[in-house]
Amino acid sequence: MVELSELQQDMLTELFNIGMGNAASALSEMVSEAILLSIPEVSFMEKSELTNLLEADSGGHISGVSQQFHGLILGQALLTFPTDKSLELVRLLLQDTVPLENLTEFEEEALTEIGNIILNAGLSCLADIFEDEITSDLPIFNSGSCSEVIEHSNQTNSAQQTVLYLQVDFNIEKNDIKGYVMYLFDIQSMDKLATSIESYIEKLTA
Amino acid sequence: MSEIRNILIIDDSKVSRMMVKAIAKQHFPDAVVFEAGNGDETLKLEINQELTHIICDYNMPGMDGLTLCEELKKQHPSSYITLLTANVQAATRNKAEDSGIHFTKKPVTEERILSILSK
Repeated sequence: MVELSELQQDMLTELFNIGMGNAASALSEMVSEAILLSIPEVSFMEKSELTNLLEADSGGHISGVSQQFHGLILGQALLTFPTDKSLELVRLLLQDTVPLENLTEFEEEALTEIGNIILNAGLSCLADIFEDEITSDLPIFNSGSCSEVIEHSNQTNSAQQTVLYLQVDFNIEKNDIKGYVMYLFDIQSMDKLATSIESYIEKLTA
Repeated sequence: MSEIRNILIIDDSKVSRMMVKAIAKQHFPDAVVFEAGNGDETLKLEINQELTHIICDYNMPGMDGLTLCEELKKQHPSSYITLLTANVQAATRNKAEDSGIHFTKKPVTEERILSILSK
C-alpha cells in the first residue's frame, strides 16, 4: 500500500483547502449566508474508526449525500449534516420558490442538489490542478445513523477497510447549521494520486 | 434577439429545474418553458416551435448532458445552448466550448440565468 509522504499529505490538504473554498463559495451563493470552514484534516483510517468518529461527533441521526468518483482517483465523496437541520437548509436554498408548507416534499431533491454542487466543487478543483479529469456518478441521498449512511452510500468499495479520509467542517453560523464534507479515497488508487502530487510539487519547485 | 423566449430546461434535479424556471418566469412572464429530466425524455418531447434557449445539466442518468447538447444543436441550430453544471472542471468546460456549447457553473443564481437568457 502506498502511503503519502508528509509533504504530499500537506500538499493534498492545501489543494483541498482551495477546493473547499470553492465549495463554500457555492454553498454561500445557494443559501445567501456566510459559510465558515475548518482547516481540512487528512488521515488514513479504518472504516470502523471513521464511523465511530462520526457517531461521537454528530450524536445520532444524519442525512448525507454521496457520490462515487473515478478517473484521476477513485473514491467516495460524502456531505453530511444533522437530519434535524436539513429542512432549514432546504428553506435557505429554495427561499420563496416553494411555499413553506410544501418544503418537505422537495427536501430530498434539494439536499441532493446541494450535495452534488458542493462535492463536485472539491473534486473539480483537484482535477484542474492536476490537469486531469474526475468523473462522478449521480449523487445518492441517505438518512439514518452514521454507520447506515456510510454503508449505504458506499456502493462499489464495500470490501475496502482502509481509507484516506479528508474532512472539512462547514458552518452556516447565522442558522447554526453544521456539516461535514468527506472524501474517502480508495487506497488502491493512491499510487496515481501520489504520482500526481509529486509531479505538481516538482512543477512548483522547478 | 426578440423578447419571446422559448426555453428548454433539462436537469435530473427537479429542484434545479424549478429554480431556473422560477427565475425565467419572473423576468420573462411570457416565456414558454419545456422541461425534461434526462436525455431520453428530452428526445421524446414534441416541440413545434423554435427554442431560443436550451439549458442542460451535465451529469444525468443515461446520456450525459454534453452528448445531448450536441444532438440538440443539430435539431435546433439557432438556439443558445448552455451546459449548466456542478462539474466545473476545465476538462468539461473545454469539451463544451469545443462543441460550440456555452458553459455556466452551478449553483443556479438569478444573475447566471439572466446572463444566459439575455443572449
